[in-house]
Amino acid sequence: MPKTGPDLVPGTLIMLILRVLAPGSMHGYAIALRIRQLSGEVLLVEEGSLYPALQKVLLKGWVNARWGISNTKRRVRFYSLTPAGRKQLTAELAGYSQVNEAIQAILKFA
Amino acid sequence: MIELLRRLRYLVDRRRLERELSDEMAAHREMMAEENATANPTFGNQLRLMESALEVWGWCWLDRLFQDLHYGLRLLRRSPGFSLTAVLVLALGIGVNLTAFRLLLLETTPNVRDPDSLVEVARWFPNGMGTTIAYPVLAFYGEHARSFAAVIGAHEDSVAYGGTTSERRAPGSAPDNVTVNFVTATYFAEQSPPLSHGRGLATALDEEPASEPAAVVSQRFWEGRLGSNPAVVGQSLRLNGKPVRVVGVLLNPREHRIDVWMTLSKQPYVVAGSNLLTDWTSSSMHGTARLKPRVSVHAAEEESRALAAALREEHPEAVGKDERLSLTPFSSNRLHPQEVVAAAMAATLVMLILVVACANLGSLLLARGVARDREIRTRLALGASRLRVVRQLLTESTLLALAGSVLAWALSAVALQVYLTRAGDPRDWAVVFDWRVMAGTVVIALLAAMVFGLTPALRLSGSAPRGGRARSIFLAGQVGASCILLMISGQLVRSFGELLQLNPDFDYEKVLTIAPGLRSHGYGDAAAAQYFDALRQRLRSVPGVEGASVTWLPVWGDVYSAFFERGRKVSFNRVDDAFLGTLGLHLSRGRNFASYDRDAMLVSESFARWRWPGEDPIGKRLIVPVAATVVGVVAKAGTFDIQDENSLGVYYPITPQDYRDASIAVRVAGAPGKMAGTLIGVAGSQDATLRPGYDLLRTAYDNAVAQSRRRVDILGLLGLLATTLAAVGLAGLTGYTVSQRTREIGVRMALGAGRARIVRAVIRPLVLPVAFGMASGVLGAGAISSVLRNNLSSLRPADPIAYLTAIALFVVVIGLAVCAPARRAARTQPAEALRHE
Repeated sequence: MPKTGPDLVPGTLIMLILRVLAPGSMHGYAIALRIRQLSGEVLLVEEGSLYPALQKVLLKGWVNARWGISNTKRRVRFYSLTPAGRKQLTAELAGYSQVNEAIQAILKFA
Repeated sequence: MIELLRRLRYLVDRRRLERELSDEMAAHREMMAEENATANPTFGNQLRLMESALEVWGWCWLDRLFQDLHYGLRLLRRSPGFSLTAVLVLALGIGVNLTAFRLLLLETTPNVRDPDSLVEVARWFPNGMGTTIAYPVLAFYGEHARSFAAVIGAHEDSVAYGGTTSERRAPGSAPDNVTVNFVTATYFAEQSPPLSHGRGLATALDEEPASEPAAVVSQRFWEGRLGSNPAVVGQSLRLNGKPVRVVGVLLNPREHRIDVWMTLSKQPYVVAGSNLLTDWTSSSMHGTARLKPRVSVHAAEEESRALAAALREEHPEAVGKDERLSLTPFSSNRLHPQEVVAAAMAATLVMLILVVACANLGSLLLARGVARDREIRTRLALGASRLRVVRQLLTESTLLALAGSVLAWALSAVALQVYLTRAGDPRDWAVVFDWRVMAGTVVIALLAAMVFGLTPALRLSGSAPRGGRARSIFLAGQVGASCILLMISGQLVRSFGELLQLNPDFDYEKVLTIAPGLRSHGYGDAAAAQYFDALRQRLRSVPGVEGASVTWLPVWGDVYSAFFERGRKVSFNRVDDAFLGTLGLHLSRGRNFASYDRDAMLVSESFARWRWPGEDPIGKRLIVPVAATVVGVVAKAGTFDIQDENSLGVYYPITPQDYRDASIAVRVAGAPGKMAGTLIGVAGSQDATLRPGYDLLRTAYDNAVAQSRRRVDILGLLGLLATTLAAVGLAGLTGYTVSQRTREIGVRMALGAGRARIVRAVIRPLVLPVAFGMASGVLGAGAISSVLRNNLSSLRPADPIAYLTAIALFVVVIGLAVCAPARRAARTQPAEALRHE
């Protein structure tokens, strides 16, 4: 399988999933699609990392899952943020932007 | 915490959730395929992806365990021969250990209710200890100590027994003595000893001053003195002339010498003039106490220190300065140091059995693993990690070990129940279902699985050339340990077995002794002699009686008499002229004496040899204890000491003064037990006031050898087991080697190799490890037996013949075990062998 994009920074996938789910519920494929679109086709989320990540957020209780019917009339599982998930998202975003700024500062200096 | 709950919920609902994920991924795949039908779908192996996604929940190890168990079970089912052998070998190895462990628990657990909170009470002084205590002092502690739930006091008295009140005894006849244990009623409440009839002594009923004196009798007393009368409860006995009422019979009491139990409050009634209950200074009670729940021995002892000081204020004569109580739990200190050494040795031998079993299985597993080489290689090639393969192999070993231990558990339960039943011990299932035993079983099984499973597993999953060295080590270990076991148990069997081989020089099984107890019934010398003369005549006319002989001391009785001659103890007895004929003793020289012959004596051969070495003993004289001349030599002195065939013995003719204490030995043709009633009747019919007792010589002999016989049996069994295990292991190993090399053997034979050559080729790799194992086994056995000799004085020094016999036996067994499969190999048909794969 040829690499089509750069690797995700480790640990950020969960943050991205939570962020994508923030406006409303979405099924697994749509999450992957959305991340790809929003990143301008740069970040390709492979299924091998998407589903473990989704199981992880389920385990942590940050998202709920329930079965529904998709636009294409398929039975799919919709994920939506829980209050705990929202809190986690805020915390991760704050932490991430802090780290990001720090990295940027170093990169500019160099 | 909530996360853990979610994990657990997941575990419960696992199947459904897995299916959901699988459905979800399928939908994902479809949608992706629709979107860009031309491009390669990026979805990989779904099973793998699912597994990695589900790993998040942390239950995958469980799946793998089930997988391993499933696979292991299937494999074991597929080779039932191997599985059965393995389980049996393990069951024997573990079972022996388990039984030993349970026996130890049994021996160290006293036969009373909740022994952990029962403590023996002793007095502790800064400069010493006292094991007995005065009753008022004990009662004081019982009343004031908050650590004690109850105190139990016991005091033994020897009391004259005058029969039941319904019996009429001749006036002036002297009664026998019995031992009465005067106890507080708590004795029965706290220890709840098992009763066969009636009830125990109770506080409310029997301690009141106005209550009728009640007695509980021992089973032995009931059988021996009350004729096993089923209507015993309510009978009245005469103790020191005072009537007491029987209320119960104790079954197998812990204190064997006690005949009767009564409440302590009745002690002054039976023993006239006793001030036991009021005297603060006579330390005459054995005290026991029941601790309250959650009170430690130490706390109770500390409390007693304060109480003793307080009591000293009032009764300075009763309590010493700085005195306190010393409390020893019933459940501790039940083994003497000597016994601990013996137990440790037994444990070593028993552990060796397990080592043999494990080494045995280890080499079998290795041999089998080599046959499974292809399977293991395939698994490794398909991406299984080495750890995964090791885990798989260990799971199989553990399965075997658990199956073996279940069987071992059953075996040891049966063995123990048999032991308890034979020992007449009323305990059974309480000991059989003990959590310590359960834990012990599991621990032994897992340990065994590790020992015999780990090495083969590591070896087989590794990339090093297989089998070779590990197998040799297992083989050598197994042979060595078996060798030690066989030799040590052989040596112990020979030592203990001497007692069994001891053949008293006469047919003791047909002889019983009757003691009428004439002296206590007021007989004089003349009357007693007359009685015995008549009895001897009447007994001889009873059909089935082959001989009767009057003896001063009963043969193999509780009493014996001896004098010292040049520093050695010489037993003696005075007997009538029918003694040799009745007992069936043989004269090796000289002649018998006549009764009342003042100057004659018979000596044992051992005595003659020791006293007059190389000389003719006939005509020699001794002046101690009475002057007499040797007229004959008896082959052995077997009537004196059952346990020592070299004991020195002398017989003198009976004198007229001996009859008041005499008893009569009777030889019968049939079973003496059946004749006893008739013979007792004959002895009693001459004088209605007499109540003669009898003893079978067989009983005395059996009691003396029973202990040793049990030991010999057990040790013999251990040795046999070790040899069997070694043989089974070696036969199995050689068998595997042969079956593995069938093809090679076929090729060799096709190329013209002779049978002898094939046998040699099969046996050769085994020779070195077996030889090494035997050498180290012989050395190890020598070392162990020298340790044993230092601790067990009865052990004979190792004799080379016993050693060589053991080694020879071992070599023969091993040879057979190895040669059978090798011979089978030699009979292989080349064409068949080449088609074998």
